[in-house]
Amino acid sequence: MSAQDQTTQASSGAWRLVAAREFNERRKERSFYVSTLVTLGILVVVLLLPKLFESGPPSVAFTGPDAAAVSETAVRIAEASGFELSISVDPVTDAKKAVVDGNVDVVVTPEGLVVKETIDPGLQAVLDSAVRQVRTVDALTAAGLSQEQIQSALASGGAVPVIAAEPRDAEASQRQGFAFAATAILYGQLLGYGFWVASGVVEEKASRVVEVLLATIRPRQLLAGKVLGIGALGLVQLIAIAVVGLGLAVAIGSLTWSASLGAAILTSFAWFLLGFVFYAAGYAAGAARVSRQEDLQNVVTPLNLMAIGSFFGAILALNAGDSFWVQVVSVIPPFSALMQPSLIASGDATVWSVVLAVVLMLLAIVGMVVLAARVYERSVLRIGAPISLKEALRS
Amino acid sequence: MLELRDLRKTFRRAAASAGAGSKRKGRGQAAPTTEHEPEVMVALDGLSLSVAPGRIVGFVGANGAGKTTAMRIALGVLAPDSGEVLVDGRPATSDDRRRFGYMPEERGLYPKMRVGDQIAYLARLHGYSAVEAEASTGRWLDRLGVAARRDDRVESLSLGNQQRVQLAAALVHHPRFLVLDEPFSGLDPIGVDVMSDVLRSAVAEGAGVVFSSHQLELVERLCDEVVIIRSGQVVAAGTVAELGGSSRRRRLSMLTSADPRVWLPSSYSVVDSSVDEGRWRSVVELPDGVDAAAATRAAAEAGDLLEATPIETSLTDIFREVVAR
Repeated sequence: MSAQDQTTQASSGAWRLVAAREFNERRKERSFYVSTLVTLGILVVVLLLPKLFESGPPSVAFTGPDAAAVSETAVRIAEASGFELSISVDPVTDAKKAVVDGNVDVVVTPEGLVVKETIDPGLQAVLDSAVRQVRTVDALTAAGLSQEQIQSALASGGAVPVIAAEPRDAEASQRQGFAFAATAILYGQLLGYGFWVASGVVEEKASRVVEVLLATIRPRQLLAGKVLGIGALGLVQLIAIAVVGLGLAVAIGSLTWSASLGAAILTSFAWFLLGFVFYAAGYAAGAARVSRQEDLQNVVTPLNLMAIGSFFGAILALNAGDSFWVQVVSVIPPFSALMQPSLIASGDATVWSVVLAVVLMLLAIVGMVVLAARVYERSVLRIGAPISLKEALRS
Repeated sequence: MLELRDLRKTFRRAAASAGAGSKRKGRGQAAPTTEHEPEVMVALDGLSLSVAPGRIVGFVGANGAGKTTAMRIALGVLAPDSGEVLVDGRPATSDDRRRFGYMPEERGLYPKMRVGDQIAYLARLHGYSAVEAEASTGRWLDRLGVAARRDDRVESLSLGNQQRVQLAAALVHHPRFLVLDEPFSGLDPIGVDVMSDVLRSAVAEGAGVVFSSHQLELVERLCDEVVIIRSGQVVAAGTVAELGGSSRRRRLSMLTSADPRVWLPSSYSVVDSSVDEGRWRSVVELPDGVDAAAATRAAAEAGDLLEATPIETSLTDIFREVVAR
């Protein structure tokens, strides 16, 4: 190979070589597998736990002379109001013993509703109406009314409907759950992979390998390769977590697949990339200012605080996504990186806020990358005490 | 030909504000200006040197004289304030520099990366294809006796083996010029031999080598030329013989039958003299502009000279002299 070939090839692809090294070396590290497995483990537990503790609809037994009529009426009322209950057909001799033993949740006796401690208000309403209705029918029959008259009288007194001014989306609760999980995972990925960039920069400084590297490539190529290589690995892990987590959630019925869910997932990936480039550049610049892993914590604290603030912002956005201040803060970088996915998943994002958030984030990334490259170039070869930001920018 | 021409480099260090006691001592000359102005350190002050293909140049100077700074500038890791780095008479491009091999003073390898992966990665950064990088890595690890450790992490190797891996890192891309900062420091005698052999054969294949060292006997034995610097300036340069010849302190060992302090002209100074069975064994420093042959004639005329031998000046002597001057 001629010297000319040798160089053209290297200079054009130097950042790619760096990125490939970062990706491959870290992929082989035990901490990568551990973090993937731990995240998946937490997801599985979070998804499966509710299923384990889930009990079926409340079971109800009926005693007394009107048992058959009350039971039949209760079932009808429950169906009409969308309430689920199961009728126990086992004969009950001692109502209190039956509920204490847990054979049934409620025994309807002529004396009243026998429960262990308390009763669900919805169930109480259903059973209460059933008993009253049967008693009313009995009373009206005794008063000499015909069955037709009784039925028409009862029909006029049907259930009072509830009219919601802003009806809740049928998918709302699953969206909330998804948005929370997505926020937590994105937060973990941003912080974890950002810190990996930081410790990678310090590793190169502490081992002095940076001097060997900078004899062949420019600092910017090294910085770009490092951020992109580690970011690519973070994205791969995020996709793996998403596939396994969503697959499981859909399989056990915690989540129903829909187009809006797909859109929310893709948005989360996109925001991971935007957020990662911003944070990783910042972490790299911070790390370039120190020469030892022990000094690292001090210089990355401001970024950690920003990420933690964004996380709480995102949690707030889940509960009060339509509040004015949440809407304002959610477009400001870098808070947008965690708050936007949460707002989009919970359905509180508007088109203009998404566009504005993306534009502002891109501007912030450009600013951060320029600043980081400058600090990195000027600090990465200086070994010794931490370099102040002012000094790094001026010298 | 690799040339460093008239390099100047100063470092600014922020002056420690009153009370903040974290001021670091920089290398090189400190020239503090006012209390609030940054302190200026002159690391290189018009330094020039050249390395021809097939030659080994020893780069010698006290700690802080500017050797590392000069080498970093040669590699393009640092930019000079003024002056230039030339390859074959043209300013060095990054293409030229990709054919340099570098071993920094503090060494530098990824501790957790596997030996073979690491060397192959550096070869690729220097422009080798994946296949060539693998092949060259195998050849060098074999040659340096660390082929069996190819799949081990660097941090698990002994220091001596890490040094060999570091050398492989500098050589894997078949560099035209080798710039080595203290390559012999910390090596055991076998390591020194391996390093010397490798440098000699690199030179035999046409590479130019410049290395810094404090082991002056080694420099004297290995180098075709020596450059001595002090405070960022070259104070002596040439072959060891040339440097010895130009030294002011040319000396002669004499055996005489009378005390030379009595009969030698006063321009000669007798540094050391001992008498044994009526014969004086003396070391005499010659006056300026007088070489050993002329001095021998003069001594023979003036007194009873039995024997005279010029004393070879060692690099250590030259170094002490020019650095102290």
